[in-house]
Amino acid sequence: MGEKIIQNVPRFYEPHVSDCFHNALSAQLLNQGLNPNIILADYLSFLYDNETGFMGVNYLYKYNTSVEFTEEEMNTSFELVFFPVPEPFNREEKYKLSKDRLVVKMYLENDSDHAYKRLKELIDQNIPAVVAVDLFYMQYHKAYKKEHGLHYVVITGYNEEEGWYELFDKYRLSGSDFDGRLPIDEVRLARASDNPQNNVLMGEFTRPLQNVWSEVEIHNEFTIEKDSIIAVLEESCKRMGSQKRVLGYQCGFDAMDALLYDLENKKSEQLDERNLYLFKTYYNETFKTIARSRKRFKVFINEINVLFELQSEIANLLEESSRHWDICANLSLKLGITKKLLLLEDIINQLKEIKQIEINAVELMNKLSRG
Amino acid sequence: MQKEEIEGKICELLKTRSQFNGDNIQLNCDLRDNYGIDSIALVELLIEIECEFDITVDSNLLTYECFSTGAAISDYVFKKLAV
Repeated sequence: MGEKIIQNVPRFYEPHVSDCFHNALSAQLLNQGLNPNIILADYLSFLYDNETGFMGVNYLYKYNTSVEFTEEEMNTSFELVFFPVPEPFNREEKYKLSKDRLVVKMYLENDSDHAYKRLKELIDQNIPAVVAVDLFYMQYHKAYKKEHGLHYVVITGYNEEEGWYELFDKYRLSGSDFDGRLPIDEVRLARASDNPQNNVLMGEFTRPLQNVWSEVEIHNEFTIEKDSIIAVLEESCKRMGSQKRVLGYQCGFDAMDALLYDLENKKSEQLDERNLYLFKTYYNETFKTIARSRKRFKVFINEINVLFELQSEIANLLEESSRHWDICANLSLKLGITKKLLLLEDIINQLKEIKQIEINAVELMNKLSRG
Repeated sequence: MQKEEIEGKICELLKTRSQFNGDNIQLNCDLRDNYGIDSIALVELLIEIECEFDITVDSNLLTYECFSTGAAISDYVFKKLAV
């Protein structure tokens, strides 16, 4: 029996983060004195799969049925972070660390006792733990006892005698703003949940959480070099310029053209249940996520202010692009609710504006990276 | 329609959409922070406002930033009806 509380872990929240994992990991990085706005700057990109209609930034936003991914799938977004394949925790395993990339290891553990033991070890070593939970079991959240959903929180303490964890969840984008104590037994259920889901596109499915958690490993001489910053810009220009494919999918402006083509064709389609779900939920959420990615890249550009010129011009274009992606998201929701297919024309026009704005931004980024 | 009448109707609609503080709607308060109206609820609210006032919200303005308070919504509706 014991108690341990880690003090002063930064309660990070920024509205431009990509998701709850990004937000929780940012708190962990800040706690280690690292800048998440640079380290977690994912490449500027756009992905589209015209077979399924799914899209994304550096990976497709689709409905996963597992928390397991290949190394290639895990490593499409970041220049400064390497994600090994998620696997069970192995005390003997050591990663060869490099000075220019940190390692974020995702661990899976079907044995809840083992997962509990490792979590305790981390906290005992003053390491806040980023763990996945099912919101269905989190009593502070509006989804409690209503909806299932994978979510990441930061656990900063425990008291075994009184049976509580101290944790925080500041991901306000999904209505979270919690900083307090929850029963260990409830969090244990939340970590081991099968996480059942159901939607029009997928039908019924589960995405078992397998007690997944992340641990950060950093070389003691880790530094962010100018070359890494330039590599983020160069890779972003390549992806936006459709000079490469990511996970086999089209990238950048060609991918936008493919999306525009498919949306044009939707003008003559029936607004059936699937299409309504696409507009009201999938496009709404995905366009919002892409809007945030443009803000996030803007934050990255501003952070590297001391190194380069032209940033303010690029930052303004990214802000404008983000605004148009946001409008696309709201128009999609409006179309899904009102069933007014005429709004599709407005979405298409917004996307055309986005493409031109982002072409201008990428031209400037090309200049930056060459300069 | 008088501005006060528009504001009154907007307050009524906000009251039904608010997650909290619904009994004390202030036109100048941020809708998300004070009444729990997120971007999805805002779009739903604007659709309701379009029906109520028989207007169409310009697609190019359909962002939370443009309509983050009851006052901003009222001003917009007032201008739309005046055209």
